[in-house]
Amino acid sequence: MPSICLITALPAEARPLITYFGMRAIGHSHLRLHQGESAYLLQCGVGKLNAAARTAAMLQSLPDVVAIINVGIAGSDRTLGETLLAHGVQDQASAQQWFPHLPAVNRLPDVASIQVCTVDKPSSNYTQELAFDMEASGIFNAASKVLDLAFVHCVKVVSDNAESTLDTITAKSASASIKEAIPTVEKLMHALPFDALPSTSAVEALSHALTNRVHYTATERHSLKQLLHRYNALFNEVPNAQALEKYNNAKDIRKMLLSKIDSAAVTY
Amino acid sequence: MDTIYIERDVLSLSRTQNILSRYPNARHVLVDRYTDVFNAPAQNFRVQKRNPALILAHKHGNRVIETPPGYHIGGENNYYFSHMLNCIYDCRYCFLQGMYRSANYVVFVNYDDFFEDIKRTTDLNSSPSWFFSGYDCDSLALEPMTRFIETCLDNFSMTPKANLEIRTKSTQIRNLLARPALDNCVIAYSLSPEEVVSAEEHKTPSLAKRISALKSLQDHGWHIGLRFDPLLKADNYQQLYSDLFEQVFKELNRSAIHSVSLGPFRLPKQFFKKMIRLYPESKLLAASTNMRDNMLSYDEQTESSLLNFCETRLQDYITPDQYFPCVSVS
Repeated sequence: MPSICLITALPAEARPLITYFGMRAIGHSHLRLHQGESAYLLQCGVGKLNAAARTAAMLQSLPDVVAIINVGIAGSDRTLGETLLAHGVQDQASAQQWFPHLPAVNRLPDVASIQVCTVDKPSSNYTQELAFDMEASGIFNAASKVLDLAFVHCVKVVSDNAESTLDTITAKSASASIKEAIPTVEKLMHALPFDALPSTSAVEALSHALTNRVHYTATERHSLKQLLHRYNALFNEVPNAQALEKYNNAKDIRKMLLSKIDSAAVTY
Repeated sequence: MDTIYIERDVLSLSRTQNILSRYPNARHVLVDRYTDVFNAPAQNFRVQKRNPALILAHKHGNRVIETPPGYHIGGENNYYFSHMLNCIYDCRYCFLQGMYRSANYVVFVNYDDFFEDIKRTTDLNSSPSWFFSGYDCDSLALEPMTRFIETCLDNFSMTPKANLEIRTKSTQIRNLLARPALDNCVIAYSLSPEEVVSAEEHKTPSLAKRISALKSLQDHGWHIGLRFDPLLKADNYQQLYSDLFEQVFKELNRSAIHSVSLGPFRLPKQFFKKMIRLYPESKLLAASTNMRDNMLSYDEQTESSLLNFCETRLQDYITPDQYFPCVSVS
């Protein structure tokens, strides 16, 4: 499975996930990061600014991360402990919104969806239609600059409602809530549509090898990748790396690839 | 449909409720405007195509638009309209992949506003007008859910000065066969060689099924149109298109065919750039092409050979008054 990063705000939210996924701390100068076999975990701190800044820093620091799931507690006029999947995330202050592209219903049966509203201060204005949190909009704002919204999601567990208000939340109750959400988080991780993306590894590997051996400008590198993709599409394989060894500059490699592409047979 | 986004303003409409009732297990998400979801940043057409959501919305203005010059089948006043954005099919050459970031389907449920605009536009012209449906979508593919064409035909039956072309690849023709044919309506099918259908027109009905639908429609009295569009180059194109024409025309009453047109493969440069990023493994997009006037196409010699060959072969089957070159909607 490609790399997924789970993001929580509080240590109490992070702990059950760290334990379940068998994660270990990664030394990092200013991020609280853990790594397991199937995912990373970032503990971003409370509030949307912390969430945005640390999500952006994490994406820069871990370029292999291709999906993000925010897991946390939220307030809503729903049953305590109910796990909800965000179908929309709104920043209350700016009214900016994000709509993650959700997996098929049958991949997450019995999980209701809800609009998550990120507030700057804790809110007790509970409704059935909204879940209040303090980080999701920051995470979506930063993540959507880098990732498609089919790969950025948010799972919330109802921690407070009109009958059990904010002041009743403890570290222990937050951990217990997140523990309840783990099956949903795991199903969501498996439902992410990585298999809908094109496979580019062969082209990336050859492009990397060629640009290490021969000098390429940034524009030439871009053009090389395009040509390698076209070659791969037309011949169902990338060019033989050994056959390319006789070419010692970007121009000759380009000329050779273009000549092969132009002469490729196209039949139906 | 797993997820349905609904503009708050259209939630209570009976048409909206009818559509929603078809998908009892879908998630419902209320939005202010369809543009909040559709074509918003950070979306991937290819990924969404796997599991598209439905968006029910109101179309404000620009419902009836003049066609580009040259886009006609003999009429003087030509317009197109789209009650829907995006298509259930997945044709690798389709410009929608490059035009939109989102593969979700938008259905505009204020049908009556479309019909009012069509009537108003018709009344503005002294000579008959033509209205083309199926530019940003397939006209019939989601008809069982939308019932737009059914309502549309009721309206065109009362507006003889307005002519309608329904462009499709779909075989959802039950409703058309259950009503009398309209003299001011043409059902036009996009047709390609079966080998191209299999390789490039994913999720579409086979050529044989399209021909069978055309035959049923013709037998029922509907005017039919044939759109060989887009013409794709291949080393064996002469064989492919010869076989295609033979297969199509042997099944149909040639003299009763309303119109036949050819469309070369062309795409705006920006659309093509997006499409090649989405589908780097596509042979069709990887093959040699040319940029002319910010449009991607085959080189002039290839394009004219392909067109000339097809035009010449068509002369064996139809008369010049049935032929309209280059009505192109890839």
